[in-house]
Amino acid sequence: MTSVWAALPVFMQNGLIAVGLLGPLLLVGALLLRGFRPWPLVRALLWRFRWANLMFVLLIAVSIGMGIGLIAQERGLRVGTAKAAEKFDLVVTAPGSELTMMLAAVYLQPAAVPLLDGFAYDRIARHDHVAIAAPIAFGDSHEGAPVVGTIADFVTHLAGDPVEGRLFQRSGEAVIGSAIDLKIGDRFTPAHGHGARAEEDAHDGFEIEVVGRMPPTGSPWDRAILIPVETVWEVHGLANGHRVEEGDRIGPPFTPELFPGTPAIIVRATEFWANYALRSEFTEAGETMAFFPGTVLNDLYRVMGDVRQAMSVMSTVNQILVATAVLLGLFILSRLFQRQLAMLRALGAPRRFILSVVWGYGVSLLLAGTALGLTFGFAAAALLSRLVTQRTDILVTASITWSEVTLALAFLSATSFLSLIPALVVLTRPIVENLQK
Amino acid sequence: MRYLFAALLFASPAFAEGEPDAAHLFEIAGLEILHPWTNATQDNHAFVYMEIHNEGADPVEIIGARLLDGPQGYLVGFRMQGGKMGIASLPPIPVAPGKHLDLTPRDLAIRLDGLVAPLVAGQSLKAVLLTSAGELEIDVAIESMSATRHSHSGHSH
Amino acid sequence: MGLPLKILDLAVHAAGRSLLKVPTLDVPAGALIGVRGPSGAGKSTFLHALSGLTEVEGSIRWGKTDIARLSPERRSAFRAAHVGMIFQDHLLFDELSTEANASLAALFSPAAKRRDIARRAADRLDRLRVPPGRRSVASFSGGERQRVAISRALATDPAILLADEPTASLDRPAADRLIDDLVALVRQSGKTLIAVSHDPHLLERLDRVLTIEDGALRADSLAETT
Repeated sequence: MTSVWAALPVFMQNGLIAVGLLGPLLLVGALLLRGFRPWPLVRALLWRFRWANLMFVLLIAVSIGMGIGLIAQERGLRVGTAKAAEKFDLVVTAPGSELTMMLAAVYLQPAAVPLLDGFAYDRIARHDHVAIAAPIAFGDSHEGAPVVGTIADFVTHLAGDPVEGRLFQRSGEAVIGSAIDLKIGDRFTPAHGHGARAEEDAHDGFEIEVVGRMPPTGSPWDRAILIPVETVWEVHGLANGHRVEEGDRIGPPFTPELFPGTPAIIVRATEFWANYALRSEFTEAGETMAFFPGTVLNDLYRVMGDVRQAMSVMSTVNQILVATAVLLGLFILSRLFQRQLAMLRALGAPRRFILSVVWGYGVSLLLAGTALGLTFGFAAAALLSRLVTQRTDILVTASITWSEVTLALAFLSATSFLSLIPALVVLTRPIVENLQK
Repeated sequence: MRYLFAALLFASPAFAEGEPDAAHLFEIAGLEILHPWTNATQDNHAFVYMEIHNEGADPVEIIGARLLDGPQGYLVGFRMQGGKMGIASLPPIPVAPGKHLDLTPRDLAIRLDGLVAPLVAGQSLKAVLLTSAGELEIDVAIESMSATRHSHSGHSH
Repeated sequence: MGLPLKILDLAVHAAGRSLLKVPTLDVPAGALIGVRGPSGAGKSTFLHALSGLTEVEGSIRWGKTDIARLSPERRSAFRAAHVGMIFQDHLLFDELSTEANASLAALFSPAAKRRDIARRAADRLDRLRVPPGRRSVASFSGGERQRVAISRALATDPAILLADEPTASLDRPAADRLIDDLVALVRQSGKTLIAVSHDPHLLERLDRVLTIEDGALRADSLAETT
C-alpha cells in the first residue's frame, strides 16, 4: 500500500489528500442540503450579525495566517540560506567554531578570526584534486559594504553569469556586487574595519577603481566589493604574495613566504567525491579545519526545525482555541435567531432544513476565515521575507505550498464537522416556547 | 576447591571479551580503521562511520562494506540541496599515504543494506570492509539512535 | 378547499398542569371560526394543538388525518402541506425582500412545488395590495408586514389557516382594511380559518366564536344561536 502511494507523482498525492480532506465535508453538505435552498436564509443571517461574523472570520483568519506564515517563512529562510551557500563547496579556515567561520566567510558577517599562512595555502592549492583554492580576505569596508580580497577565478565562479564590465586584472581594481551603489569607473578608498567604528582615513592614498559588476546572486555577496587579495595586503602595508620580479601579476600561484595570510580559503574540488577526501585531509588538529557549509547549515536547520515544531504546536493549539471560540459563538448566535428558526419549524420546515441553515451559516464563516487566513499567511510570510532579505542580504522568498493549503483544509474540514453540533443542539430546543419570546 | 579456582579464572580480565582496544582498531595493508560505529535502527539499512588512517606507503581506496552475508554497500556523501539534506552515491575514495579519511554523520558514510534484524544499542555488528588492498572484517559498535559520535571518540589509542 | 375539524377528548398538559381541555368540537370545512378569552386562558395552546406543534392526548382530526397520532416529523410535514400560520408578531426576515418572505416555503419545498409557491405568493401579495418593488420589508408599516405574513401563509395553498391575533399590532383603520381583505380572500378560497383575536371587528365577521377560559371551552356562539 505504501509503495503504491510512494509511486504516485507528487501532485497526485497532494490532490488525493485534498480530496480526502474535503470529500467528507462535501458529502455531508450534499446530504444535508439535498432538495433544499438554505442560502437565502444563510445570507440573511450573515448580514444580520455582520459585525460578529466579521470578528469570527478575522479571528479564524489571523489564527490560520499565523500558523501558515510561520511555516512558509521558516522554509523560505532555509531555502534562501542554502541557496546563498551553494557556491561554497568546501571552506578551509583556522580551527575554531565552524558556525562563526561559515557566517564570516560565506555570509560576510564580520568576525575576528585567525589567519592561515602561505604554506597552508600552498599545500591546499597544490593538491591534485583541488580545482580552485580561493583566499577570502575580509576586514575592510566601504560605506558599510564589506571589501573582500580574493582571486579572479572565484569571482567568475561566484557570479555564474558573465560579469558586466570585466574582472580585475591588476591590483587596485574591483568588481562590485549587484546592489552596490557605484558605477563602473568610480573610484573609492576603503575604510579599515566595519560599521560605525570603521576608520575612514586609515588607508588614505589608496584608490580602488570599479571595473566590473556581478549579476545578482541572492546572497550577501550582492552587497560586497571584490578586490584582488594582493590589494588587501598592499593596503595594509604587507607583502603582496608575489616576488618583485613578477611585476604586477595577480592571482595564484603565490610565494608562501610572501603570503601574509588569509582568514579562509574556498576550495572547489576536481570531482564531487574529492570534496570528502579533501575535507578529511585538510582537517589537521591545531593547523587547519575544513567543513561543508551545507552540513553546518543543516545543523542550524535542525535547531530551527525544533523551534518551528514547538511553534507549530502552539499554533495548532491556538487554532483549536479559535475553533472552539467560533463554535461557542455559533451556539450563542443561534440563540439570537431561535425565534426565526422556531417560526420556520412552525411553518413546517423539516428538521434537516433547519440543520442545513445553521450548519451552512457556520461553514460559511469557517470557509471565509480559512480563505482569508491563507491570504494573511502568504502576506505575513512575504512581509517577513522582505524584512529578512533587507537585514541579511540573503534572498528569502516566501511561498505557500500544498502542505500549508493542506493544513488549512484540515482545519476547515475538522471545524466544519464540529459545527454540526451547535446545529443539532438547535433542533432539540422546543418550538412553542421559542415562538413566543 | 576446583570450582572456586575455575570461578576465579573466569572472573579474571584475561577471559573478558578481549581487550578494549581490539574492538576498536582494525588493520589491513597499513590502513588503520578506528572506532567503526553506527546508530541503532529498525530500518533495513544503516550508515557506518569510522576513522581511517593510512600509515602505509601506498594509497588505498575505500570501496565500501558488506554484512558477513549481505549485499555490497558503498560510500555515500551527504550534501545540502535546496535547503534539504540529500544523499549521493560516491565512487571509491583513495586515502593517500600519511593521510586520513573521516566518515562521520551527515558527512560521509558507508551505506549497508540488507539488514534483517534491528540494530540494538550496546551490541556490535560484524561487517566486512572492502578496500583496494583487500577485505577486512570489522566489529561495528552500535551506538544509540541519536548518537552523533562514537562513545569513545576523543580517546587516543 | 378547506378541511373539516373534529376534536374528541382533547387534553394538553405541561409540567403536570392541565393547559387545555376540549371534550368535543366539530367544525365544517370552509368555516371561519374566532376564538376569544382572557390572556393565559389557553387560546394559543389551542392553536398550537391544532397545528400539531404540541403533544396532545385525545384526537384532532383534520379531514381524515388524526394529527394527534402523528410523530413530530409527520406533523411538521402536515403543517407544510396543509396549514398556513399567521403569527402575532409577523416574524418576517428583515433582510429578505417581500417576495422572498412570502415564498419562504419554497426554500424547503421540493423543486416541483417551488414555482407554484412563488407564483401564488406574488399573486397574494398583489391581491393584498402590498406595495411592490421594495428591497426589504424592514421599512414596512405594521399593516404592510402583516399582509406579507398573510401572503406567506397562503403561498402554499393550505386548506387550513390559523391566525394568532392578526390585527393586534395595527391601528383601527389598518386593522379594518386588513379584516376586509383577509375575510374576502378566505371566503373566496373556501379555506377553514381559525383566528384567535380580541378584535370585535374581526370576530363579528366570522361564522362562529368560541370562548376559552381557564383552559376549557366555555362558550360557543353556534350553540347559543341554536
